[in-house]
Amino acid sequence: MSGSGESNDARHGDLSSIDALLEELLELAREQRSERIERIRRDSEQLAGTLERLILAADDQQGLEKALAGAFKLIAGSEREPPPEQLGSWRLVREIGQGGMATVYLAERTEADFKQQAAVKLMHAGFGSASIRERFVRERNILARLSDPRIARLFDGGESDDGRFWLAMEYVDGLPIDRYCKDASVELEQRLALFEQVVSAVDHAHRHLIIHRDIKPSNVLVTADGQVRLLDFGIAKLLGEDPESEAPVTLTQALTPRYASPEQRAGESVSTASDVFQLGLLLFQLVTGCQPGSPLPRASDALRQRLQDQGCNRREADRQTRALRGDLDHIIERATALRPDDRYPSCERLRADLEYRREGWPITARANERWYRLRRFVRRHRFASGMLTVAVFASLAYALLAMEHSRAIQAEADKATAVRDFVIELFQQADPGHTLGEELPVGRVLKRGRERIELALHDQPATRAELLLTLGELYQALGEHAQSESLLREAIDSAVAGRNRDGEFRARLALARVLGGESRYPEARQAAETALTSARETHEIALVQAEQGYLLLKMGQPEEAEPILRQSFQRYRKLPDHEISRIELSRMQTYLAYSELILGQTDDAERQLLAARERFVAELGPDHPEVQAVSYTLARISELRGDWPRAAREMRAVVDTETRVLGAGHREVGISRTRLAHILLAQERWDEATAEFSAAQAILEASTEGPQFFLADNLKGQAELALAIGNYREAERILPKAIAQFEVLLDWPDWRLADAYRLKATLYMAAGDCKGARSLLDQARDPMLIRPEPYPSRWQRAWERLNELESADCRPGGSHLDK
Amino acid sequence: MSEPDIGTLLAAIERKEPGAWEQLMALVYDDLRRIAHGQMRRIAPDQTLSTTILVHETFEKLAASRGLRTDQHSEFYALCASAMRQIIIDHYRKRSAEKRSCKDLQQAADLEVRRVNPEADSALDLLGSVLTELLARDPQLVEVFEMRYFAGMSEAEIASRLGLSLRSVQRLAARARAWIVMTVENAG
Repeated sequence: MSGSGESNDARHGDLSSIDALLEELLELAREQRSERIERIRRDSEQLAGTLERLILAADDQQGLEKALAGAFKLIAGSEREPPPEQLGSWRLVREIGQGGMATVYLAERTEADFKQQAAVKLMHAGFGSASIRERFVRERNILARLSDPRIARLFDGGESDDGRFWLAMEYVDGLPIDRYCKDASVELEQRLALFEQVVSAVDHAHRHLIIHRDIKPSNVLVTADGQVRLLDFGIAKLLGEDPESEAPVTLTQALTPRYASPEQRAGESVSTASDVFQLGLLLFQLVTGCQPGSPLPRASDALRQRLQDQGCNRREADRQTRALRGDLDHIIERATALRPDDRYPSCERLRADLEYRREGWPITARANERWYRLRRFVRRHRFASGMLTVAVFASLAYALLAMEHSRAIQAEADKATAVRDFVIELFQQADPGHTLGEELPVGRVLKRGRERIELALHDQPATRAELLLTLGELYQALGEHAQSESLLREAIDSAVAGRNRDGEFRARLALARVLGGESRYPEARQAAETALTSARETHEIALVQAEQGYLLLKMGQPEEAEPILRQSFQRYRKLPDHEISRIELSRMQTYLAYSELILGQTDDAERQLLAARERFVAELGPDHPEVQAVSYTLARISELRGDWPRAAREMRAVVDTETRVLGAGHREVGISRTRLAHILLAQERWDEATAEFSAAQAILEASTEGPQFFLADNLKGQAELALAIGNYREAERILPKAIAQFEVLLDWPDWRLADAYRLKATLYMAAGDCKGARSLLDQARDPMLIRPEPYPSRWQRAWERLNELESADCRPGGSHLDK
Repeated sequence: MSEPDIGTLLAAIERKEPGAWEQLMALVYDDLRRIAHGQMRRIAPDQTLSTTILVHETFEKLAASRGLRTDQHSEFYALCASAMRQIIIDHYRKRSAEKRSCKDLQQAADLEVRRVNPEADSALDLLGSVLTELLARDPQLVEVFEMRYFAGMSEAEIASRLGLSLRSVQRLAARARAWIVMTVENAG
């Protein structure tokens, strides 16, 4: 209090000296005034400006009229007339509320021996036109369609003796939602739950094509048992603009101005979007406890200022800003967008975002407009593709998006335009009109693109780097790692030569990814390390850290990887929309999900993956390899849960899509088919499993040379299958190959290698070598037991089998040892 | 309890009897509001009321019903004008009290009653704040302003009432106008 007093005094003193100057100036003749002001200007431009405006204002009669006119509306508005005792069949009991256009009374009537209560709303004079009665009947019939118990019903209506209109509505004994929350100190999540009830009720009405038009806290009551009730549904329409009347009472005046949407303020036509807007304001008020006012809610930096403007003190504003930061402010911002088209298209979508937020999924309100437009552009072309494989288009889309993104960061328009033209040209070459439907012309198209780069861009290394990077990323998206790697290395060189720092960073990051995808972990880590040194921005650093976390994960260190992945995902997600890519965001989320999955947090992982997949599909289309990679992991989750039929179905769908999009010989297909084989093995569908394993093996061996994780995994599966059907010779032939590859790729202790040792132990048992088996199982014990299922029970079964065998003097009995 | 007539009250004010001014003020305050309300019902929503007409109408009504001498007219006008200013400042104080505690939503809901037109409302807020400020700086500024713009008195009438030169009244009116218009424009 004393603080604000001091500043008032200071301000007061300041104004007094200006006032003294003004007084002096008014004494002077016009010319002398200007001279004096110019002299003052030499000392203070600002003071001179103020004085000039004051002099002008002294002559402005109109401005004064405007200010004074407000006085009367106020005085007039606060005057009331004495209430009547009876309205229609209703006897007024007492006044229960006052509104901008009406007074509300508790009323009752006796009908067939029972007393009915109602809230009767009596309009102030001047609200409601002559034809209102007719329209009332019409509207009442419409409103009667609303059956939602959360919406208060409308009973009756008429005209009072002095010509004022009244309505009788269901009486709800409750508190306005804002007061309820305040009085009962309702927690944030609980407030949001109440709000979701409100949204659902409004949604119900919208589905019956009824718009509320005046949603505000005093129209949303909460009863003693915590139920939400909406008042005045459709009433605003009833009292609002009358198409036949020439001098309508404008709704702008009738409605509570603080809660009116921009289109309502402008007197334009009103749609469900206006309700969404008002719901957004209500949410704002419930979350912050402060009333909305002009200007309308925007993102969080402006928010604090506004909260203070609203009269919250700084600390309160800070606290509330924190509560809003993150998703809620985005939700409020989207709901209260100035343009109806920018708001949630429906209450349902608003409700869904609240649910996403509650469950920790990404919300849709963070969609970025520029990306959205580009996506639409790409989608149009994708549907025009005809015979071309979807992958080409999806990859081009991806490249376009990545490029557009880089452009936003860098604002190097000419370079980005060159890349865009290049990609679009590639895209046109790939058009079925040019290729006559040749089978998968991707390779040729991209090859031609590379030739063009060589020819055209010798002297522009910075731009050349962008194009090489674009091509490299295209190859990477298609899983063509070797091609991608050489392009990216070239891109790095060009970027360094052309001092294209941003391009260098992205190329290095892409290279780290390609190497990681090839299971070349030390090289990949090295590349990520170098990428980090060329990273400058927060979002770049987050991206590299996520990549490093992912590499750790693949190298069998999920405990170390998980916090890194979580932190980098969350940090990236909090950045402003224009700095981040939704594709990268989704990718980081999948990394995080993988780590959760490995750590046994299956449900969390599934949720993250579903959210990431939805975003991927929106950005890249349903057939894109990134989408399939997520679907693959979701199938793995079904597998981990032991839901074999579902796992098989899901994995088969992935295999089919990838085969169609990437071609039957593609490495990704090999990986997915290996997994499908594992699932079939678990279902004891031996023949099908055998066929899948060997088909997958052939693909994997053909697509990459040298040791690779998925090939090793395939071989291990085959060994397991051989053991399961008693084909020890085959198991003996294959298993060492699998173990050899694992030992190259993975650092001990690693549960996957341990699982291979477990198989080897089983093989030893079949040969009667209990000692060898025991030593292997001892080794495998810890790495397997600390993992989530199915590893501990696999080890357990093998261990029990060994004990049985030892008690039988290590004489292998049955043929099906591992069953 | 019979209400004293306005003439008697005005005479009491002239004698500086304690409480007389407040008593008369209360009378005028209510009547001003009631009459303004009547005016609102008669005119179309987009028309604006004239402050001067309002005060005159109040005057006529009270003069007719409660007896008022002709020589008391200017005094009574000045009083009405002060009442107007008082109504505005009261409103502003309530609103700024509300702003200081955004906690009390109920109070805000009460005030909602008074809100008819958002633009007029915010203009009124500003008017209230600038009047309060001017009152603290130089009460004479406000006095002249009230009489000139609420009561519609001529500058000569004001000059004779306040015992000032015409030139002084003109300058005071110009200064008041300057501050009020600039404040309102700044916000608008």
